[in-house]
Amino acid sequence: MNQSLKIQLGTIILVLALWEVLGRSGLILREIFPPFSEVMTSLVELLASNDMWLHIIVSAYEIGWGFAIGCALALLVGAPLGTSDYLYRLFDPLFYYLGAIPKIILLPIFILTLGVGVESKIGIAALSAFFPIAVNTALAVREVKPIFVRAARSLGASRGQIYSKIYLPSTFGAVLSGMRLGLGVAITGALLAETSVAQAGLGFRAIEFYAQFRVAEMYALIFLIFIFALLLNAALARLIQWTNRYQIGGDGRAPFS
Amino acid sequence: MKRRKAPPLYLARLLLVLTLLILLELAIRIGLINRFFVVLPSELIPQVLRDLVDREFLTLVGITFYETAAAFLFASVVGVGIGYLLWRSRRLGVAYEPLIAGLFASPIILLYPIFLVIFGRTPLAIIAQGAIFGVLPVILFTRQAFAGVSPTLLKVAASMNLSTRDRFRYILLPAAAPTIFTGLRLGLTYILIGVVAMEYIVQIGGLGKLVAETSLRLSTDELYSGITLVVAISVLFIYLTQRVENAVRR
Repeated sequence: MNQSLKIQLGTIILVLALWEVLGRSGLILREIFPPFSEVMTSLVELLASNDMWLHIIVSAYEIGWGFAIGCALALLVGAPLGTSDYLYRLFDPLFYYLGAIPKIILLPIFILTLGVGVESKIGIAALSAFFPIAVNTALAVREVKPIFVRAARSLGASRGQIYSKIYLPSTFGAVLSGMRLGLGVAITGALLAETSVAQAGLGFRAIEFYAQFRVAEMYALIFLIFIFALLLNAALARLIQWTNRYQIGGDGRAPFS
Repeated sequence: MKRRKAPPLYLARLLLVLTLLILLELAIRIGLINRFFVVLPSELIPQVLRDLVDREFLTLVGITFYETAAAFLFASVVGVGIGYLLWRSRRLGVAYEPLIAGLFASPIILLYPIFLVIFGRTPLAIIAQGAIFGVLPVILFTRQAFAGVSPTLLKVAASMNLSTRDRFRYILLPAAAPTIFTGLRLGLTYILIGVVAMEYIVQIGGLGKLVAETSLRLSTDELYSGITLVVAISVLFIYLTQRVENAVRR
């Protein structure tokens, strides 16, 4: 076992042990801060219950569609921006500032126009995912060496061929990194929106537990969400690492893998 | 990114935004967009200006500003500090980076009930939540920034016999600054999400609470005015970070 792994496991065990001891000590009300073992028991019960899967499916549906729509729009907008120096410089500051706005504040508008159901959450997720992906795509396309494009053009490549043979392979890694950030904010956006107004979903269920003072179950649910997010993130990091090896000019590293 | 912008580009950008606003105005006036959902830009601007001189309203702006600034200050100082330490100790850095990256990828903001329980329904709960949400990217990017400083530069510093402090101030910091500021901006974005979202959902504090209340009252004018001011605060913070970055890099 290597040293990093030892430190990681040690830290995780220490944190969980501290959680367990603090929870049992009675220093903090048990109703507010239940020990880890109690949370795990609740987690098992949660996973065994039927309605849990409904909430997982609803959240996955919202995040999936939101992310897909956000990705599609971001690629459609980001790629052309990267190919034109003027457009890039025109739009870059706008995107830069708009990207930092907390999208959740637009939820009331989404609710007014799309209703309180899954559609408004898809809207928030799509809008959240859009900016990091569009910005990364534009930047990646912009950084493609012009010599590659000129070489392809002089060899008689069509516009479509230039996109598929030059831009796609040289930008894939950076676009995926944008998608990783985009997926993160899409998950946060959708689940947050659920905690505000919803009829189903993991965020909705968590806040329902909170309102019913079923704190152990709430922690268990959030724990579950964290595990899902971690697995998704790890999978995307692997994918980035893997594609980097085949990328033109890639260096085979994923940031923070 | 090019930092110098030719004036025509500014003008073009302004024209672009104005055109969009006029198109929106027209779309609402001819009934393409329902007036009930979207406020006329020509009515929104006077509303924002009216709100900006309203003391009650200004207090809300101030609260949101204060919460964001406090959380950002904490995240910057603590984040850069921990990031630096994780770079100095390679062993710990390599071990903790994946753990922090994993946390960063998780929707930490869902933990807000915990902060409410610990700090009560106060601005402190919002600041704590925002700070923890925002500190992670700062740590990650700071460590990466120092790790990415070219060994040649460090050799130059050694050959010039620079003191530890001078080495830090004149070699390490300027070389690492761009990446650190990328992290700070990302942290700021997350803090804004955390602060505004928590205000909005729990209905405490400043503008987020206002937006939540006005949307429940279906008072569209005030709702859009509140949203506009959230946008303004975000833009202001990003702009200020940019100014600080320019100053440090010089």
